[in-house]
Amino acid sequence: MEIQWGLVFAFTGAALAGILAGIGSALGVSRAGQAASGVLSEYPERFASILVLQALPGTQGVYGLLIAFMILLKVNVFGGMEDVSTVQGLILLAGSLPVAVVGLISAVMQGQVAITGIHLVGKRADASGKAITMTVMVETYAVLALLLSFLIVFFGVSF
Amino acid sequence: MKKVFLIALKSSREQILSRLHKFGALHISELMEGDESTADMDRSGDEGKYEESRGKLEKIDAVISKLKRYDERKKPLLPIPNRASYDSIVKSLGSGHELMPLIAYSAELDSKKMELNSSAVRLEAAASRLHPWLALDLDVRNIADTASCRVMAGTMPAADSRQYIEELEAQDKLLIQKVYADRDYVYLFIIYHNADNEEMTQLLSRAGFMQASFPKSSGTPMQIYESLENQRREIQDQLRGIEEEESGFAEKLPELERLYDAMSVECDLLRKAASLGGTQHVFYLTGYIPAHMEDDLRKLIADAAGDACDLTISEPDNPEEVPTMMENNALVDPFESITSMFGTPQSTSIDHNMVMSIFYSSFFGMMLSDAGYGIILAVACTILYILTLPKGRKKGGNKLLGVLAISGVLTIFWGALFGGWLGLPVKPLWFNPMEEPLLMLGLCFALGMLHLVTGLVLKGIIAVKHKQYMDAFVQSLSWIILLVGLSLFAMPALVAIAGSTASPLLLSIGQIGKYMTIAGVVIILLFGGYGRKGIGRFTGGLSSLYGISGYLSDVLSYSRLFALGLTTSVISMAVKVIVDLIWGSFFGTLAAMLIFVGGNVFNLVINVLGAYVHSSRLQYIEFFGKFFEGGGTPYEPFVPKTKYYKIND
Repeated sequence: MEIQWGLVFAFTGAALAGILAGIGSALGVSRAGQAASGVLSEYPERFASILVLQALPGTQGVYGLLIAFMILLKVNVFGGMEDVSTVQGLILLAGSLPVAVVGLISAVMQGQVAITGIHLVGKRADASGKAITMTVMVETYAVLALLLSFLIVFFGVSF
Repeated sequence: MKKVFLIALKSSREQILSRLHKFGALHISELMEGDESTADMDRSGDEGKYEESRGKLEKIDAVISKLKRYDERKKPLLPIPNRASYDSIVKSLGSGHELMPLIAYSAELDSKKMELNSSAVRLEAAASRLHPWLALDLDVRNIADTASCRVMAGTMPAADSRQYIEELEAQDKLLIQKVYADRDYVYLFIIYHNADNEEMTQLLSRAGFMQASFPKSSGTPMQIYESLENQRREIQDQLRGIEEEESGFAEKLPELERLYDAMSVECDLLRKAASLGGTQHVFYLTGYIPAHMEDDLRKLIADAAGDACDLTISEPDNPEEVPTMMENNALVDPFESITSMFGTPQSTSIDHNMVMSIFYSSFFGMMLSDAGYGIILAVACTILYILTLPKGRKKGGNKLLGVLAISGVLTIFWGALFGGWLGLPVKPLWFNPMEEPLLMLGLCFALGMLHLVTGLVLKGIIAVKHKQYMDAFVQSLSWIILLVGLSLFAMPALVAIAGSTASPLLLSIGQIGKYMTIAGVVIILLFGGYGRKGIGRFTGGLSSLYGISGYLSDVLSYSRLFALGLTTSVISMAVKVIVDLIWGSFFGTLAAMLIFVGGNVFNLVINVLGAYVHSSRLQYIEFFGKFFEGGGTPYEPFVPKTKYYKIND
């Protein structure tokens, strides 16, 4: 049986994007949630701003899913799969890497900032805007990685 | 904003402060630290009254929190606040005094409950200690040494107990009765002769035997246990009775809440009174009032104190101290919250909110990029916003709702342009970003450049306002020329990358751009270090020019407009694909509809969060970074702050 390496690499890429970015977001959001529980035990009325801070590291997982979905669409999974050559499969795998790796690391790092932001809100209720802004700064790199992944996947191969 | 100085007799202080509170427009300055003129002032009387009223306020709050459990009022579907007028709330203070005995009684009930609870705990502990001994049918007074024998009850660890007990029984010098056994211990009753005491004690301690103590009453353990349980049941009954009484009080909750608000108004007034400067018979205050309210203030003070006061309203002498008040029309007003989250602008700066609101809502719209979601947001948030408006006013509702409502409208606009309608196949009015990503990126960078240049223009305007014309020229105008020039210059090249050929018009625009760029660079090099002497002048120019790299990263930052719009589109597409797949059979169609709704709700929530946060970030970092002067004092007028009723005036 001949293995269609192109498809293997393409699907691996999609899987990686989902897995790594998802892990990153899960870690970031869960750690932030732990800090949130601590602060809420003292100040339950600050739930809204704290919830926003906890949710912020969650976007990388969505970006990963996006690129995974784009790869699947490119390969036409839902409509009768294309013939994917090995090189094309490798290109799609490469395209998944920016969002996968940067998503993983930036989500975890963003989680750290979110934790400190939550503690900041615990000390000063009016600082939530600043805490949110600082947390969002980290996301710039996830967004750039998303863009890069998209460009590679979208333009890197054509069927 | 005008500066206010008022000096008046203490006898009219209450009237004046109350009227000012209702007026709600005077920003009263805090007394400066180390203001020696009032260092000797005796505030103890005022502070005493304030502490007293604060104590009352806390008691009322305690009762309200406690009674919340029994609150049977229907919760309204939407959080529309109750409204009342200032005067009616203040009047409630009088009628509220009837509630004070209730509040005192409630505190009594609280301490009674605490007592009962701790008794219950004690009884329970005693009962559980007796539990293993229930089978011992002997009056506890008799579990004591007699003249010739040692009589005791106690525990032995369950592990190895059988072995030890057999060993002890083999001695044949004592009576052991196993009363009870649980997982950890066996409970034994032992009698032996005094003569064997030493031997037995040794054996028993080796086995881990520990003597148990019994309560100093009479009766068998079973009897004592039953009496304890009876006492406990009685206590539970008493507690239930108290709870029933308390639930009866819950009907007074609306009155209590009104009283709370009335009390907190009085508390605020007393606190303000205690914080003002003055002498034994006279008090004074300083503050700021928006210029157009000057006459209203004069009339109010004249009404309240007549001639027994001196009111001076003048131009502020120190512009840095003047509090910053942002005033905009009803559409821009909610966006002030975006600015306030970042910081308060200097009062000497300009109000950027109108300009920012246009950019903010546009960027939001591009990032949410789905006209369907835009309609939902616009309609829902507008309705909710109107519900939170104070009676008869057009401004002052929940600012977040206002921002979302207006951004929702812009979302409809951009969604229609890009063809996003809940993932359904509708032709875009302009183009689909996913099909022409380079054009989209170009659009994002162009809008970004527009945003940055607008920031620079604002900077120039501020500099001109401060009569710093050189700054306006070097820091604002020259960079505007440079950046606009660069953009124009780059246009033919970008068009070439996208694959088309440049028209002659485009080429000549490019040429204009080239000259503008050169002009800009020259100006910056020559004037960038204009404050300095000699070689410093050139190095200053060079380092100013280096700022160009900052602009590059700023412009790139706007690619997030594309990326986030992409997120929305792709998730909608994913939902649509899944729905298409399972549509058909009965269950399939049902599941498909659920997924459609659920998926779109998820998409909406995630992307509204992202759009809100990233739009804000673009304003804070890229836009404000060009011109914003922070560190201002926010305008915080002396207004009533109530919890349960919103004041109507």
